[in-house]
Amino acid sequence: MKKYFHLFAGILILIAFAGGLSKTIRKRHAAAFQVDYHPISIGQKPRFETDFASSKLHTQAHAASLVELKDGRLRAFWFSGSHEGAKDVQIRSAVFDPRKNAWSAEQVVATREDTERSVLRYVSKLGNPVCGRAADGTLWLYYVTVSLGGWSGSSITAKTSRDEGQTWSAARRIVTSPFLNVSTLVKGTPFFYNDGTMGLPVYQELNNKFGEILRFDKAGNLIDKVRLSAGKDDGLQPVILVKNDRDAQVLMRNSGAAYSQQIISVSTQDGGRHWTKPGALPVLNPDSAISAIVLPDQRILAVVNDRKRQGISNGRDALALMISADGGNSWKLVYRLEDQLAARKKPLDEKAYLKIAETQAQKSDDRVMGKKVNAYAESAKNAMCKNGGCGFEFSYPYLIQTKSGDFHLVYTWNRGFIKHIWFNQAWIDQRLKK
Amino acid sequence: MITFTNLTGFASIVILVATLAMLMFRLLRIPQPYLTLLTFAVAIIVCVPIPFGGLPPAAYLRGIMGDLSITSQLLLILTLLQYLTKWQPFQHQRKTLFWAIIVLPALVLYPLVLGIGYVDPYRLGFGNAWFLASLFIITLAAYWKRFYLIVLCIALAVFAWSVGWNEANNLWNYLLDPFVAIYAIGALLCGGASALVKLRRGHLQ
Repeated sequence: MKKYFHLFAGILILIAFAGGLSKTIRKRHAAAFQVDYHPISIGQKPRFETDFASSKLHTQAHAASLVELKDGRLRAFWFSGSHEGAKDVQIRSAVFDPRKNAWSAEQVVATREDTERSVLRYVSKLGNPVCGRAADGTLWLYYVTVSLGGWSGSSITAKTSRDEGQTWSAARRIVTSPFLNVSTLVKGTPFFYNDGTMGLPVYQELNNKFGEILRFDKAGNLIDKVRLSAGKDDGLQPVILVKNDRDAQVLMRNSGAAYSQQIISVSTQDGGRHWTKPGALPVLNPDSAISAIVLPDQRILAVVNDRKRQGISNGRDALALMISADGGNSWKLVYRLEDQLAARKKPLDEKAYLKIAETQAQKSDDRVMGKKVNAYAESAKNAMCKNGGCGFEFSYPYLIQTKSGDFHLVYTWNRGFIKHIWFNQAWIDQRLKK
Repeated sequence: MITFTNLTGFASIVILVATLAMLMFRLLRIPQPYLTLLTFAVAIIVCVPIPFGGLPPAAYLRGIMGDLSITSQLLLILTLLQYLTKWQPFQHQRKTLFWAIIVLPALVLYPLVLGIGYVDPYRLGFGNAWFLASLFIITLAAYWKRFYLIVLCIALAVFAWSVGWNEANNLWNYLLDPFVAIYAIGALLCGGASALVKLRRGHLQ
């Protein structure tokens, strides 16, 4: 008996390690980025238009992202529910048609209940969604799920769509850690390596806060991960800026006291094999998400909350579009997208808040009129007035450039709605001349 | 549709619950025929969806714990076999060296994956030839010494990883999980304390 077991164990070793070796050999992948620049249109008229991507009233909406569809339309995703972390939070989506300059009705893409049925485990809440298009054209939606505790207990779940987001597959959990698979969240825009594999910027919040890049093969399997910051660097929500096939820069939200509360940056010159140690860029970052893209002339266009934290305002009451021509070492303000700093001077009561919010809503979307104006302001007030005081929040920007060369930005508007801004290169040039 | 990897992950939690239930029934001195029956009954009950949440109880536990490693599952199955069938495979091999082989990598892996530095050993599990070669050498050494429990833990984990048995695509998730690491630390501490007591008694005599 013992002799036979010895033989069995020997055969098992051979089969197991032959399989393991085969999987290891198949893992080869390139260390070069795919550069995805879009043309700059010449002779365009400056365009700057704003509207709301979300339309559901009396709910909270946050953490929007965008993906361009094959026909030039845009699909936005965000999470929405009675409040952040509530059990009724859903991942919602709407489509923007540039030809009609209008958003579709909202569509539910994922709920807590359908996610937990698919992944066969309890899910207590949903969070940030981001979407990327794989090399075969499939849309991959990654979103945060939590089973236990707060956001530090997060893991990533994915859904796929082969019809541009009209229907979605069952959810699939991505295992990113050996420690109970907790504490991985998404926020940044996916990017590609030149072998068709996809990079997904993620971050961890358990114990230490740090940024990472996950790498997925063409079938959506996680095949590698790279750490961008560590220890007490407190760099979160990395945004990858691919400059050429070898060079890339990462901007990260500063969630700690290190680096003078400025944006954290790391870079690579070998296609992401090695990254520099974090350093600070001269832009204030009050622990808030940033979004950025690289223009074909290598300038960086970024959307940031660039004011200090204070009181009920955590620094998210102002949002700026900025540009840098020297890798982030110096920045120029292109346009102040939102500014409610004046409201910091004296505490706002609900009545005063409603008045300002109504004006803001009308300015943001000219289709918001009549009774809707008050409903939009009420939705914002419900989210932003607490303990007798009110504040403003314009946060979690997500900026993309489409194939047409135009720029689309979505961000959280007072936690009640997702605001969309559509602008072009001619408008940026016009702003920079002023 | 429930995927294969969801079924295997779910099964790992069912095995855990069944083993814990069986150990509890043993503490309550349930006689042998009923012990087997009750253990299977618990295993079935945790698979049945509860009326309100719509999920089976094991799915709630799975949400909190994640999927167990192949090492954990193997040890749980051996424990079930030991008490339900009186067959005690590799009982004598569950000793200091075995637990130390689990504890040592765990003590390095978990602090580092939680971000205390820039080194991330978890990357090795995505298909690193040197990591696989190291495991192969450890497995061959254990095979040569007829330490079959180590052979089974590593070889089954590598095999399961190579065929994509669980939803993880990283070999570490097949080799280790925090629960087996904590159990191994406990076993080492108990073993150490027991050895100290014996030593002290011998010294006094």
